[in-house]
Amino acid sequence: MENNQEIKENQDSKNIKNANIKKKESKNNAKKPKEKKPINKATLVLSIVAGIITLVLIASIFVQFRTVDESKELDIEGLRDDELRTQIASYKSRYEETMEQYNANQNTINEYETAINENKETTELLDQEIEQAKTLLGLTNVRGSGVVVTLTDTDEALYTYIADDLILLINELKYAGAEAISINDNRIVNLSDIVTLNDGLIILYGNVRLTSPYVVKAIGDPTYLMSTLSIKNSGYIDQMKANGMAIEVKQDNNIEIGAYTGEIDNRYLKEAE
Amino acid sequence: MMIIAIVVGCVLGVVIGILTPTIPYTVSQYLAIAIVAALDSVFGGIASNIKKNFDMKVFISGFFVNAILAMLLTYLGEKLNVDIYLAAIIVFVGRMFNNLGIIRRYYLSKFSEKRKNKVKE
Repeated sequence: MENNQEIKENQDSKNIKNANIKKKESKNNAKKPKEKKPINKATLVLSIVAGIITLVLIASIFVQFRTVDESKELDIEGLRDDELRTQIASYKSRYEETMEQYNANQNTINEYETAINENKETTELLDQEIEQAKTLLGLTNVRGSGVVVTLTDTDEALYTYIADDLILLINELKYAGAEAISINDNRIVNLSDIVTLNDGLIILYGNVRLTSPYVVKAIGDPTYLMSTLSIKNSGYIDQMKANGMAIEVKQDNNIEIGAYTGEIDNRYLKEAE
Repeated sequence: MMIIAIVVGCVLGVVIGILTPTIPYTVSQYLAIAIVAALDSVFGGIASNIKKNFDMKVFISGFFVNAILAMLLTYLGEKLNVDIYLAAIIVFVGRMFNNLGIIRRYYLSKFSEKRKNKVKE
């Protein structure tokens, strides 16, 4: 840059008689590149150096600018009073905005919460209903007071109608108000069947085999159950004894009856509209 | 040629300066003092060019050594709990004004000379 200007100067200074001595010297130096036109080596080096130096300088200046810009808000100590004041004002307005938003959000949250509570109540009701239904179906473990009836085959009587006897017993117990019944720890549910197969095998639900002794547990009012079973002559105990079965009836205040563990699947059943 | 180099340097410098990540705030004061020192060197170089006693070696060594020295002094001042960087800034900025004055006077005289010549013609 300097050289070019000097060249121009030199052209001008041709007219000036009292030109500087220094300029005369530079005239001689600068004329050479002008004639040759290709780049002077010294100029090339100088330009490269100038370019590198500007690059370093500008790059570092920009880095510094950005650093200062970023750290301005963080560095409260380095700020002046009026800057601090404007910042406080802006923070205040921002705080108010945020507060408004916060309140609005809080309201929506409250709405959601009430909705959730309502849902909870309905789910609780549904859960209760499901529990009740399960208990009624015999899908839960239950305990309570009741009676334990133990029927045992005797050697003298090879009795093949035990299934009918058990059905009768269950019927009697239900009649006497039993709420849960099990035979040999198999829960009796509404679809339980008791049948005799191949002379003497007793089957529950189609696949569970029962053998003597047959322990029938029933939860209900113990005295009522007892009295129903032990009616003279026509009562169940007397009937069994007459048939030659060994029967034992016990009252118990803490009978546990397990849940029905099998599957309940409805293949033909459909809900009527 | 030189103008092209300077322009290219400026553009590349801006790009690099924007692309590089920012430095931590504690380091930025060293960079600041280094920038002031480098600026001082640049103005010094221009002024010496005008005075016709420009030396490339002096210029480049001044550019880098002044910057590093200024950073070291700032570090020392921080360790000693004395604001040495203030002294560095006063010296550099004072010199910068000095050199700027030289540059300004040179171009002013050139300008007025040109005018005189035109009037004479």
